[in-house]
Amino acid sequence: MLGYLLRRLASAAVVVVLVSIIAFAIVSVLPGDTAAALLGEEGARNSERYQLLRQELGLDQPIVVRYFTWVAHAVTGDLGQSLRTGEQIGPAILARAVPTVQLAIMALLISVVIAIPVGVISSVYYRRFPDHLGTLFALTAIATPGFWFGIMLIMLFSVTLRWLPPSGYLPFFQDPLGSLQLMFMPALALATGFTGVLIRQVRSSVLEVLNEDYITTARSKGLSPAKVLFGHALRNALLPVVTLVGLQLGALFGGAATVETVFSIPGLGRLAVDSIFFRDFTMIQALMLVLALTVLFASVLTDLVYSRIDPRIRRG
Amino acid sequence: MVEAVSSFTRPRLRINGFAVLGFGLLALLIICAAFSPWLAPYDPNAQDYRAVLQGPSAAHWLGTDHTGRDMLSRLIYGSRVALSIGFTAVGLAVLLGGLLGVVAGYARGLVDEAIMRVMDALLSFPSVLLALGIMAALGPGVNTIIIAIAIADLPMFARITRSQVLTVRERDFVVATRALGAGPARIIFRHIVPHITGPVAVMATIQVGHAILTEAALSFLGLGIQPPTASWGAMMRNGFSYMERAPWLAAFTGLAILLTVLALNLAGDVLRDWLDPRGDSRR
Repeated sequence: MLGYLLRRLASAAVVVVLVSIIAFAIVSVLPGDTAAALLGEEGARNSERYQLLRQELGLDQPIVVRYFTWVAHAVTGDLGQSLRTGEQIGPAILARAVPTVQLAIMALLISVVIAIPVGVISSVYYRRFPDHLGTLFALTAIATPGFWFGIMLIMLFSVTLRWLPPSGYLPFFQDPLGSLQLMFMPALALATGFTGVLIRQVRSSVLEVLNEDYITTARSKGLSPAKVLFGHALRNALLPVVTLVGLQLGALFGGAATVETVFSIPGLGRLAVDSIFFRDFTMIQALMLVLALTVLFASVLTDLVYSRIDPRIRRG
Repeated sequence: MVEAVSSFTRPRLRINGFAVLGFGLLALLIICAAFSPWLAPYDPNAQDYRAVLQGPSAAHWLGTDHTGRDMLSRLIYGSRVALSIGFTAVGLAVLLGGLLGVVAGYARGLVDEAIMRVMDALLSFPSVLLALGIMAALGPGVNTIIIAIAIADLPMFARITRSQVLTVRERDFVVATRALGAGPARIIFRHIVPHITGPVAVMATIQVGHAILTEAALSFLGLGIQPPTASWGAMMRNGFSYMERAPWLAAFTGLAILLTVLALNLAGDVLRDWLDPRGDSRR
């Protein structure tokens, strides 16, 4: 176990370095630079001030030096200042993470509540009508653009029925009920793709478990189908489902960019989109780094949890 | 309750409802894209200020947008943009990712480590965010959106080809060929590539759908295809701003995207079914 752990962490460390290089490289090739962005178009034409500011920001240094300066600061938690608002990037990202995390948790819960029953029914009625219906539902959910589904929800529940407020954000701890109400439609919109993927995962892992010998044993000793399904099959089938959450985290972040735009939620997705529009170089760089590292962390954690449960993986 | 998986041993093309629906929809879309000028009732960019934001009618089946452009015509032309971006981006990703995967799987050792760690790093970025960053760096446009999506999809194809190569290269027939003195190029192209095209084709079909969703998201955010090109994402952006006055704009555009991606997913599933009849298709 220790050997596997060390190997996995060593390769993750290499990936962390590569992630930081990619994040830095993408922003370095963005047109314009930080000094020009700070001075604005007028200021950038004043070449003396522009050169002075470039020196001050260290932009006249070679790219390798700039990369190491950035990394050295990032390691201590100093991600620099936002060019757009001037706030410290670390705390700003943390503040914007709160709505996104709430949104993601609600979306995951909605997905699980829909996907587990549908997936189980699909597997129990394998290749019969309910299974086909479940599969079509799952494929449709995967094919649905979340942001479009969100727009449709606003049209139905806010514009036509006037049941729910169309958009906005309230912190959960300030007004829990109001917050849940506002976040319900965006969470549903964000949940579409994941729900579809999850239904298929639940279906296939229950099917796989139902073919195992211990299920045959459980059946042959006279347990009722319900007991076999819920007591034996489902418990073991839900394991791969847990790992799916780790693997789909990146897709959730990506979906948040459009869904948060539709519902005006001040989260990380919206922050990423705004930063790109306003050419907030330092913020884009930091966001790409932080989000990629979060996804990476989740996948390493998933691997480790999985290898703890299933020893065969460690040897691979 | 559950059929034994091993009962399907003989490869056969099962023509079921999913196959008909998937390939039927896909055929319809390809026809729309190929014959847009003949199928579209109007010029997709022709503005008509006497018919602005009209609902569906006999003259305009799917209504008109804020400058009186015919929605049906724009959606038909939009299928060209969506399909060409989807197929080109995924095609690029398959070629580059496949090449990297074959090299990594065949060479193994340090080369394999180096390639796959870079792929892991790319895979850590949420694909929409990575595409957003690349779009911002390269500027908006059809070519950059293709490059952005291709880079985001690369690692997946590198991974799947590598793992297929690793399995196939140890199979007896490959070992035998090598023993007979065949070089790596011959082994790769004559023996390994034919064996991995199946799983790659299935994944590629599904990824084309995913690429179309990504394009729609980028254009919706205003960072993808720029107006006046009839792209579904940009049309959705427009429909969103006229959500209350002209709900059909966003509704029909989203349906077009949904049906396209659904068709590709169904087709991918059916392909998997045909290529691997022993496994359960819909896992």
